[in-house]
Amino acid sequence: MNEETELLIAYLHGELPPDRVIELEARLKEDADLRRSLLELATEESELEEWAQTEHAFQPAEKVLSFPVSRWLAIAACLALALVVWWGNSYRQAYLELTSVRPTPAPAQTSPPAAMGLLVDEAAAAFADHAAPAGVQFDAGEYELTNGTAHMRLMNGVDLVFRAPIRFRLLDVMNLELIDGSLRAAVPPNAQGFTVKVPEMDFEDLGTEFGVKVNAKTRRSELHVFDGEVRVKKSGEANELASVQIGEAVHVENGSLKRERVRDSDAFPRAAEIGFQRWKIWSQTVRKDPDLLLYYSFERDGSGVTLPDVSVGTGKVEGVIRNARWVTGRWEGKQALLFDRDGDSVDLEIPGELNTFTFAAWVKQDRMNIGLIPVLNSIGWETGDVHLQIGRRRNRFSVGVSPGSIVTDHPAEMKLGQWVHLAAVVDMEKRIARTYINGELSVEKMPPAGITLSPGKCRLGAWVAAAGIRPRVRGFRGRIDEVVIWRRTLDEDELKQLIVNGRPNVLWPDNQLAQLN
Amino acid sequence: MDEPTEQFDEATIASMLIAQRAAIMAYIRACLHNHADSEDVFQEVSLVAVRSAAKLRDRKGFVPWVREISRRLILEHRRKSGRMTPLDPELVALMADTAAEVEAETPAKVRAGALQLCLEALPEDQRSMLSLRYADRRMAVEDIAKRFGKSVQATYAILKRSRQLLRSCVTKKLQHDGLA
Repeated sequence: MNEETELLIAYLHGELPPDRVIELEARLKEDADLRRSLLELATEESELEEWAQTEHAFQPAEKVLSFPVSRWLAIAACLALALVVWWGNSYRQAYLELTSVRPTPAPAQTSPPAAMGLLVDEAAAAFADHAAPAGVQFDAGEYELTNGTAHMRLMNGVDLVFRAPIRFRLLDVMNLELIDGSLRAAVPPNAQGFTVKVPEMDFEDLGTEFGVKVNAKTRRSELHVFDGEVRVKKSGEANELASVQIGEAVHVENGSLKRERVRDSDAFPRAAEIGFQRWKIWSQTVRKDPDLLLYYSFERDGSGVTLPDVSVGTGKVEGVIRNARWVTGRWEGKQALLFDRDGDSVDLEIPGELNTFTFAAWVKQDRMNIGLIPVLNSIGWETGDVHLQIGRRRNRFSVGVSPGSIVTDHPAEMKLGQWVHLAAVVDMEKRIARTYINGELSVEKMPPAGITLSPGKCRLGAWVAAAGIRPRVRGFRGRIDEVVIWRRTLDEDELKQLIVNGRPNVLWPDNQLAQLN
Repeated sequence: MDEPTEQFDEATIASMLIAQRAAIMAYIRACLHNHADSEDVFQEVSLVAVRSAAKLRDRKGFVPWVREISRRLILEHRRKSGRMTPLDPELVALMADTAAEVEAETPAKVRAGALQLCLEALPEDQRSMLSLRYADRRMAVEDIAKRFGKSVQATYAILKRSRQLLRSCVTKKLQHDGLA
């Protein structure tokens, strides 16, 4: 590196004394080539600084944003979308594309074949052998659910949610015959006229949400309208017998129609409760796993200020909630904590030493307001400390093991505004540290040899510089719904099961149909 | 006054800002003396650009337009900063012209991409040391030396050699790929 380059780098780092700054700036005014060199070096230095910021978590910045956060927030919404697009598309990738050394593109996903309806979610659902959908596809025919709860979406957008036992016949996308059991239907405006046929009657929707119940033995049926309006007709006839409005109900018995009190809407299953049910079953099982180090299910206890460790066994790692607020999680009725302000965190202490661990969490990130966004970090960055964080620059979830690692990026990137499953699997003996986003490999690292992990005092959702260093608070901005840490490594199949059992619904994450299991 | 040929909303401006971040940052960084100040000014520039979206006349004029916003804010920042000497407005304007020329020849994002590839080729120890030296709060060479069990002098030499390697790697790569 020649003297001039060294001089320019020292200038860029503010390391020159004032007299030499004045001297150099005078030269820069006269010398176009010197200005060019300075600009080239400024590009490289800036890139190095960005890179280093994502490599290391422990250094506070020399200063925080120079204007009030509220002003930054004014444009954050606009930037957020663009960040998602750009941060993942690093200059490295752009360079490779420019020089035509492009990585092999992922194979195009095949569209799901057309069907009359699709199973979009289920909890412990089992269909009778002779009356089951083909995988997740419903065509015209008879179906019988013998266990669990299921959510079917017809191709015209009609949502039907039902729990066992139920038997019905799907005639076409506008007509379903309910033979026995009960269901909830939500009909979008474009499917107005959708009809549920019951013994002797047709319930024709006029754009609404309603519940229908049929007792096959007594041939008694009920209609409960939760929203909008439903028209009641004699089977196969055009004339309207009655119009049932929001908050009204009727029952049909022996051919006669009678008004009755509308049932509690909860008597009919809701789509949102299916994922919640599935998760509850899984959660009760996993908390008994003897390899658990801690399990925060994010179910609010009486105090509201502690985050209970629900793992069964001794050595509980209770969290202390600092300012973070309880809000709705992945499903209605399920809680999460919102981290939205500086100082929002959960403090905890992970005792002892570890050679292996697996971390898993469900998060919904609202924005990326800083370069490194803590998820769960040791308070310091001493040897053996662990930092699990999201890097804005590469848009990836990463596990940092002090004192540093060799890093390889993989395709999986963070997504804002939707529930995302994060996982980190670390084996210090094998020198492997991998992170996963929605089950896909995100970052792979080779931690240094001879290090044993000792996370110690940690913060969830925030990181603050150690004492003596000018503080710079870094905070996760969004919701965290679940955090589990095992003392062992989980393989990729086990990680996928975490997602299958915890995803908000089967259409998650891209509103594309995902295959069950 | 010419009528704008295109209409730009805030989201479009935001995405253009991010796509051109390297070019804008190169100019800002060249006029300031540390990363944090440059980040702050970049954010100020972003804020002004997003709020003035209606003033942008066409896509081609985006970088010069943002560079002009940057020029004003750089001068303001240097004037207000107690740590830096005020910068000659003429030099800031000359830097803007030179930045446009450099960008036309080798876009900053191409140079940044080459640097990322060169970083990957650097030995692990050298990369770790560089990352400590370049992180938000630059670690003192003495502390890096302690961490790696080396003398201060040897650490200085390694850091210097690493930066030198990166510099020559970027230059060679750009030349080899016909991008400079």
